[in-house]
Amino acid sequence: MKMEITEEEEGVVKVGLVGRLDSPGVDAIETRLTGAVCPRGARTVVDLSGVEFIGSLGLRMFITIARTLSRRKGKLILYAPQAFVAQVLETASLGDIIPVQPDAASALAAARA
Amino acid sequence: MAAPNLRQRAVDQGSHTIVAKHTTVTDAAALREDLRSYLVVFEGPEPVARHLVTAEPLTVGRDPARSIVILDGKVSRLHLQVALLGNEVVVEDLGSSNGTFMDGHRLSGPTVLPPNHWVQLGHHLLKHERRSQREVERETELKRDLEKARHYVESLLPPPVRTGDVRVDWFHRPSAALGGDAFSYGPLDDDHLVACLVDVSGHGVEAAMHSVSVLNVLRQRALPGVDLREPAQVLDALNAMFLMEEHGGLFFTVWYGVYCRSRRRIRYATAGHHPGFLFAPGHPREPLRTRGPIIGAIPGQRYVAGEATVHPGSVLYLFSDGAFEVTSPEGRQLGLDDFLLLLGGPESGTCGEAEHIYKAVKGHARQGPLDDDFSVLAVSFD
Repeated sequence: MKMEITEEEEGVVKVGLVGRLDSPGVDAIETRLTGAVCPRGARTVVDLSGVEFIGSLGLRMFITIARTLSRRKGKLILYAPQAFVAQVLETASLGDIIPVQPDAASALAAARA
Repeated sequence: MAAPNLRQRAVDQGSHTIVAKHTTVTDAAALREDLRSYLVVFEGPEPVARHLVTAEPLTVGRDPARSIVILDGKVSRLHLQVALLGNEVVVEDLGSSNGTFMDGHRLSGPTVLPPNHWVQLGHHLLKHERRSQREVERETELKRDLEKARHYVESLLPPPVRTGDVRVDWFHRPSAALGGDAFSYGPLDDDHLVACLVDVSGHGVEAAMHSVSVLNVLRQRALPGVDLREPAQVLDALNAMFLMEEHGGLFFTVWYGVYCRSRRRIRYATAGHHPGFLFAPGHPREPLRTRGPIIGAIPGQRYVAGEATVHPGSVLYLFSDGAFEVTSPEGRQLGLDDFLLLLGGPESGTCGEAEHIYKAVKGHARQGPLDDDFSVLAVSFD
């Protein structure tokens, strides 16, 4: 699991993920990702285009981060999921707390709104 | 609990008291002294047996008279022998038809098998492990405990229903010793039957403990003030009862449905779960799902219910995501659409056979255990 965290304009944090968000994948990034965005309540966008699988532990990580961020006036927005990941997110029906956008531009616009 | 292995000796030296600490026999040293050689048999990635290697040779082969019996078409009746010579494990192929291989080379005479090395015979691997007896005993004890826990979880699952106007068959296979899938079904009153399937996030002991607590609430109908015939009410109550932050960050998905015999209607609601699928002769396959988030994620969430007609001869399939989130032998991630192709409708002649579906899924998956817990329920209606 690879992760790249970059700062965009207006305090938005962009996270790029590549690999499988299964149990080892989540173990590899969870502490670093949480540490990078949660303490400061960042507006966070996550590029899922390189993620080929998401399991329940991946969902659990995003829910926990999204809820922490919303308490601190931040937000978490996912974008560009592959078909399999998009179906898992749609089934979990978490759009109210973790919105999913089709591309980077719409994710950044939603993060700044 | 072991006795403390610290001995304290106070030595009076004039006005000072020096406390000298002597570690006597530490656990680590005891473990090192006690190391023994074991031969571990692997079938795919799973260790299936462990044998102590001594100076008395162990014979390995397909014949039931061998010390280690391996049922594998590529293994000869008498294939190999293994013994301890001094401190070394020595393996010798006894003229097998298909050979024994170490590091890709066929063994041609007695060969030392160093610790953590393997030999391959047929589709099986034999690994030399150096471990202490105590360590092996602890592992065996843990395995036994897990096995007991697995029996307990399975004892909570209802038996298949083979007769009557509504029959249920199921197949359940956790990916580890314990899993996070659970299900329940049975009559609510003379006119109503309930069926539900729960899938807790993750798998293993933690997920199994949570699924058991959810299952017991449903089995005991311990949802005060809730009409169990109303799926949305049930999910609202489960969501209030099992909030993630109060349950170690665990959540679950659920499919819950109630069949009304007199109306031939099924009322259902889902939380973060994919649809159940209703197959009826002469009708298109019908996905049964309402949109609602996974249980425990959003406090105060209100769920909604849907309804469908159950035509004569229908079969309803409920399953966990482990049934279709499978990796193919080529490494491709399979999904729901691939799985639906394997489900037989009433016309297929195999409907209602849950184990048949498991075998079909295994046939499309890479070797070894599936990635996640597998549960399928097939509910057949007259």
